[in-house]
Amino acid sequence: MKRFALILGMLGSTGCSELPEVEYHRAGFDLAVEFDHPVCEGTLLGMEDRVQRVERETGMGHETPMTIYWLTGELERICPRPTSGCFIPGTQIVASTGRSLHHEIVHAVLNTRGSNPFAEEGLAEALSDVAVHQSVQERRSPLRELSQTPKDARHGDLDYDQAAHFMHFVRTESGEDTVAALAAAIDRGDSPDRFVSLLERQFALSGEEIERAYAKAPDFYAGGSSEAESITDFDLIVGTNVSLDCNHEATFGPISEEDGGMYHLLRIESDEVIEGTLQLNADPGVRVSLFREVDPDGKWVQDWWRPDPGLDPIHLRLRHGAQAHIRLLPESHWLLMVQAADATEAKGAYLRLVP
Amino acid sequence: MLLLALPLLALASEPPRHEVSAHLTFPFPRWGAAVGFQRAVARRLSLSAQLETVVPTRGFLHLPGFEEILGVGVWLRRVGVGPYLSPMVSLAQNFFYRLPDQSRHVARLGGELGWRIAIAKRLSVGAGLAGQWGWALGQQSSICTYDYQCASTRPGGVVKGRVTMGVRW
Repeated sequence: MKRFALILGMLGSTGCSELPEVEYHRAGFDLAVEFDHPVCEGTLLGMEDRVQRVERETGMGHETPMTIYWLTGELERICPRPTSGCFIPGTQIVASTGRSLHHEIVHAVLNTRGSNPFAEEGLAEALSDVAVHQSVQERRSPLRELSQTPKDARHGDLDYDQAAHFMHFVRTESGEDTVAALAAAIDRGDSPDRFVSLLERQFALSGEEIERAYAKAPDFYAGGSSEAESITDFDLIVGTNVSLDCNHEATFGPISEEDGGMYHLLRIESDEVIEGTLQLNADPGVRVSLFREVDPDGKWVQDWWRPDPGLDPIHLRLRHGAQAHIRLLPESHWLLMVQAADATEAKGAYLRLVP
Repeated sequence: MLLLALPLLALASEPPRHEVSAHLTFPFPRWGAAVGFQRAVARRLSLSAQLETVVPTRGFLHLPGFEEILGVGVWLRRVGVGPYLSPMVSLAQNFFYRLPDQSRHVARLGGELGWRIAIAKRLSVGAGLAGQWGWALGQQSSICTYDYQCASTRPGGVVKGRVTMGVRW
């Protein structure tokens, strides 16, 4: 009897545990969320766009519909081990606590199987447009890293930043044909030697030459450029209106699964120093954060999918009706995040720089 | 006592009508195993039921599959001996073991040609070759991105070899 109860308990803790129902039917995926706050249109469109862009760039595409579980509780209900996200090989099932959603979507489109963790994780990071910083001193031989086994990755030997940085380099230097060829190799489950041969063929260089070229790659690859609206210092001086409406395509949310909220992201692009007083006139409950996308020393990089102004020790926060003096250097990548804690009601903000 | 023993002796001399069997199956290019039960309903006619699983492709153990098969056996000599032809119908499913709702179902129609040999009074061995055609049922779920990942529910044609050992009574 005791054994019977134990078996029932095990069933209850694995296969039969409760999961949210699908709430959003979108082009390319169904989404089930485990929180009460709305998922804003910009966020949903961003996920749709991710599926389509990765399909286009890699030439992959599947008839099997993708189901995404955006969970707040334990992921072991779906994933094989404690993690913040996973993709189940042989399926189009994705589970994530939020941060890794786009990364896991790329895994699903690539139909990865975990046989080459360096290539698979690197490509998933690069194709989900995660910014990455890697100094020359930090870079290990990428072609040797392609020999990492799934067991190595499980033991924590895989450096995601290094894998992402190398795949950003491959994508930038060798183009979409190489990305598509790598995706096909992942889909076939090719051996590490075949990956190296493929890169040599695509670059028309020997392995050593590829590694020498990689050593000269820039430290920083930016991410998520299409998700943030670009503005210039001129736009700021003239004045910029931002509308926050969860049903609008430029509004993202939730900011966090626990608290909800919505936001709009602006990337400031200028070749000159921007200096002056930044004024915010906005509806109550709206605030603006000004922060850098990447630490100049490479200690942190913002995730465009989940921007966290608090990562930057010199970030600036403005509430409605407030103003502050700013001085932005052109070599820094500055972001403006206009946010509201309540996503159920549309809000507006007006930003202006007085030089 | 003698009166009681006579019907039992008569029963023992009758040909066996029931059989449980174990099968090794080879749905090309995979392999699997099955258990089955067969009952004679006439001298040359039997009904059978089998539960079969195909060993999943490496890396896809989390997508197990089963097939339930019902067949009618038409025997040339008598049930359980010699050649037979068996039209069959089956229902197969693969599922993700952590989310059983995520499953794929296939209905199959087919037939099997085979031969059975009695190697002892209550023991038989046999072999057969089957051909089946499967149709996917219901709405497509999010599992089985490629058919080879879900070997039990491959739609379309399947050629399946089988070796069998059965115990009769």
